[in-house]
Amino acid sequence: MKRIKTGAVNLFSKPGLILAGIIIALLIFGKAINSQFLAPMNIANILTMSSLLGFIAVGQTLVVISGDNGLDLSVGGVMSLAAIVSYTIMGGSESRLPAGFLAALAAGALFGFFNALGIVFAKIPALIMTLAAASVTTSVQQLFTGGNPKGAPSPLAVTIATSRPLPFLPWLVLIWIGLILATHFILNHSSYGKQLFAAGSNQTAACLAGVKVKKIRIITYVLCGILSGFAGFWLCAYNGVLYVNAGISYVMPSVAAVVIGGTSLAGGRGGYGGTAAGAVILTIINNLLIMLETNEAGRFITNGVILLVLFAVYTRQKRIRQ
Amino acid sequence: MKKNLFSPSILQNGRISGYVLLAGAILVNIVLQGPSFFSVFSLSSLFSTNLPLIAASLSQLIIMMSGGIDVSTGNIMALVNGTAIALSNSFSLPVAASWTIALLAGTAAGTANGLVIAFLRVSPLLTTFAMSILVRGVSLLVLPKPGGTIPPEIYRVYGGELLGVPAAFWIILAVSAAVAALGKLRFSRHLAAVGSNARNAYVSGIHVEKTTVCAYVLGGFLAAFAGLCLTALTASGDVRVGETFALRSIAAVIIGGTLGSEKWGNNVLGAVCGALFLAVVDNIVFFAFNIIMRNYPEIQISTFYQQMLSNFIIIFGLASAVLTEKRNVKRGERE
Repeated sequence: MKRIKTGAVNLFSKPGLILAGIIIALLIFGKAINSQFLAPMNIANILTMSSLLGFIAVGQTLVVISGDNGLDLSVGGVMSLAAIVSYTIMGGSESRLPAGFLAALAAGALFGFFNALGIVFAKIPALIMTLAAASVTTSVQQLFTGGNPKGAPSPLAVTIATSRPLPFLPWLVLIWIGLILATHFILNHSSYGKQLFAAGSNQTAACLAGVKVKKIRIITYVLCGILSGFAGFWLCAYNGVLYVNAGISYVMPSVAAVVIGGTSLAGGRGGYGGTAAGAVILTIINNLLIMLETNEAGRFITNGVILLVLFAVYTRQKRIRQ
Repeated sequence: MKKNLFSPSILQNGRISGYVLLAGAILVNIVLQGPSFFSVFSLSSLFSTNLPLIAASLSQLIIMMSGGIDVSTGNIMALVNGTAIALSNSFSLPVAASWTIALLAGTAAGTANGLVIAFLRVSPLLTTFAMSILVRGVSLLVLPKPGGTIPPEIYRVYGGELLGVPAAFWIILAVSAAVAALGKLRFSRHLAAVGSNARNAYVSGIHVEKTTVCAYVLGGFLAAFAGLCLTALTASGDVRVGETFALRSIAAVIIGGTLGSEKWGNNVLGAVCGALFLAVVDNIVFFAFNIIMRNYPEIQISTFYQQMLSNFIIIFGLASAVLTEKRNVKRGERE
């Protein structure tokens, strides 16, 4: 089978080098403002947060590639809901870890399917449907917990989420690396991946070539939900204590990471390697902002400006005159 | 230049659905609430509670007619609310001055949306999404903690009545009439042309960028006005209240089902009816829960159910344009 051109970012291509350069520049800048910035502890911290962001950014990348203005703004809400579900079910008990894990994935899949229903069948623009789904997840969380979540993650999950085989390398990052390889394989070597790119770049052509576009889109949103659920489980294990909408701050960076990574918001082009680099870049920026003691308002403003600039650089449309 | 997110052909088919839905909802409301529905108090609270939503829907209508969409409406309203309260309380500016500045701040945010969309050519959804985060940050900067008050005269007048009719109703009438009057201007025809096909509009000699920016300036102004109404209603400042207004206003315009109609006045009436439908449905949910609680006191219902139900109603509203659509299957969408 011939390989299709996906426009994915390769580490040794020009965009890949630019992303690596940005990461190094940010690290040097961080070292300059705080000598503890490159300490193994902080590196591990940054990598852990990047992995959590990376987990949901996998789903976001798939959804964006699927085209038709695909975007999922409910990832944060679904992640929070899944975190709370597994938090409550596990209740600190070792034996209920598998149940909690599967429940988190199931909650994610359910909301992914809910999104797919609205987007594929009711033809609501994805951004709006998922924004609405995000507010549904908020009220479901409140309903489920009465506004005050009670529970605890299993000790084993906590151990995996917080311990490190090497001083600067948490276990979560190894899970993330596995996920990166799996995503790369699915996108480039599976029939689902080929159909996904086909559906995203030209849905009429894909349909005529025998791709079941609707089915592919539904699978993609469900996958995105499952991955958000997966991220939610690890958020629960890493945080230890949860509140309603604990994962909501991951929404904006997940979109920004995809855009930084060179995946086209028009769909049909891109890959996960760039997104992963984008996730690291955004986490470092957030870490810097916290180190500079920026308040909530400052973080929102910075994030908004970053998004605006990224959109203006990467998603400009053609002039009418052409 | 930009795609029309809700193509007019989808929305035209549901042209009467907005009015029918509203009439049905009002009937159900009357059945649940009894004759007290017609009391001045009940109507007055219905109109004054939902005036912000109606104004926001008119703002959304103008933007959606230009082929765009605004998911930052709610955040602009929150910014206006926060600015008005912070200036008059913390900086002890006169109320009139601080409310004018707040109005200008909201309009400025709308203008920024328009400029980015028209000149940087970023799609409206993405622009307003990024702007909603930015505006949220600015409003948190302006008013970090909820609080503050407004002079009692304002909310007394706002919730009061004039000539036996709720004051809020007069305001709704005035704003709708003002927006409807825009239909007399050449601008309205340019807006509709840009909205249905920007390229054709450009070829016919319409200044597309200028028209787009004007639409967002006007939309920003109306959203800012909605923010002031919200301030008069809640009588305090909280920049976290506006979140749901963007989705609700989009749903209201779609339920109105008149987008793409040739008559400007129809569009305005449709958007107002769509917003009123959402308002009446909220009323119905409230009374239905009340009746259950009164008759079956042993059942404990959390208020979170009400929130969830109203979220689902918004999604229903967003989907309604398609539910009434005729089967018109495009090739690429066929299974």
